[in-house]
Amino acid sequence: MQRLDFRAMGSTMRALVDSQDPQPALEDVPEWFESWEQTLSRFRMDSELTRLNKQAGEPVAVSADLWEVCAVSIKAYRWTRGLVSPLVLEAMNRAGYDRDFEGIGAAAVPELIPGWDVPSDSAAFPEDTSDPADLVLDAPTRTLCLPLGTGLDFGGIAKGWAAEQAAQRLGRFGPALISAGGDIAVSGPRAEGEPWAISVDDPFHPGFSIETIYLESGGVATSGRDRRHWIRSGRLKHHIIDPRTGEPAETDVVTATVIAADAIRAEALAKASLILGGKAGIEWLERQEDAAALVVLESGDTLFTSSMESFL
Amino acid sequence: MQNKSRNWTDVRLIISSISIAVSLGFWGVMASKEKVVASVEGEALLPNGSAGPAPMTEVLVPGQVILLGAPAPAPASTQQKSKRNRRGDGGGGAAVASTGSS
Repeated sequence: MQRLDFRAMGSTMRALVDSQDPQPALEDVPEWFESWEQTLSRFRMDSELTRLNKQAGEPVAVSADLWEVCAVSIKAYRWTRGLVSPLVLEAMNRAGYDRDFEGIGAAAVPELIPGWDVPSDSAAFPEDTSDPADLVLDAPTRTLCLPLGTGLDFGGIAKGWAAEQAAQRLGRFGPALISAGGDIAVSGPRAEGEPWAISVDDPFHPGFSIETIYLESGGVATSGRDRRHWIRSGRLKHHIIDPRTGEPAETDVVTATVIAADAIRAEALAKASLILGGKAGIEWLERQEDAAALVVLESGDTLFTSSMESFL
Repeated sequence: MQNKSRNWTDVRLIISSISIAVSLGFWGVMASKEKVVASVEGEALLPNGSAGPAPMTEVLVPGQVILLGAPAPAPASTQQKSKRNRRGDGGGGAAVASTGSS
């Protein structure tokens, strides 16, 4: 087993290859992520995404990577009936998440404890479940045109996509696992056919886990409001925007962990279930054929989908 | 007449000295026999198997503890159980990565 940990996209990354090959391209992985971050980051003033967001209302030809991430973001929008949308940049900025998280002032954020917030009763999906309004895509020319006054923020979808890309590339050298800040893509079973053991962080006790998942292939992702939260105008804010309100989601879920066919879908389903709230979210996840999930509520309780047992 | 009585006095003195010397000698022989008997009876009072205090000239091994003259019991060997994963396939149970909100 060979391992490399590094920082990228504001998160800790881990690349694993279950191979004794002395040159499994592990050292190339940080460069891949650097390239994707330079394309997809909304915090870098010279990234391709920032340039695109500054040209809202105009058709802009984009790179293959940006085009592909935009395409999977629209898929995520459809899977979640609009609960996960790439067009939340303005809402994110209004909430105060307008720079890299390290620059917001996380030191002033109180510790998260059970019973911290008020449960939400908003379990309905948006009425309009079509593609993001007025987002125009022209595939032959790979051209995007954003609605005026809007901007794209791919959020965790970009991390899930990057994890999948890296796992596919690294998988040529042996069974591989990529963790992009907790969004995990697995290329296949380990060398001896065993599953990969992945612990699920306990949001109330940093450094401890609440479960261990055994995954042979696919993706797993956790969406949560336990880490990236801050205080703005005296109110506690977090980075999961509810497109129905344009505000940080009011939910009784602290973290939602989902296993799915790949890390992108896992990320989308996890975020949607968090926005929906504990009871509605777990019921909705039960209806997703390829998904298994566990959801940690602010009461401290953990809910499981029925399919989760086979991964524990 | 005076010389005759002095001679008799000398004889009595010699006889007394000899009898005292013989008495003291006999007493000494008898006393040494009693010491040997007392020593044997004292050993018989110890419980069977007790070896008594260990001689201080015993070679001490580093880390060895002497308790009341007897060697300390050997420490129990630490057993480290290998963790199997919950699927029972014998694979490594330790997580190689973790998922949490980032």
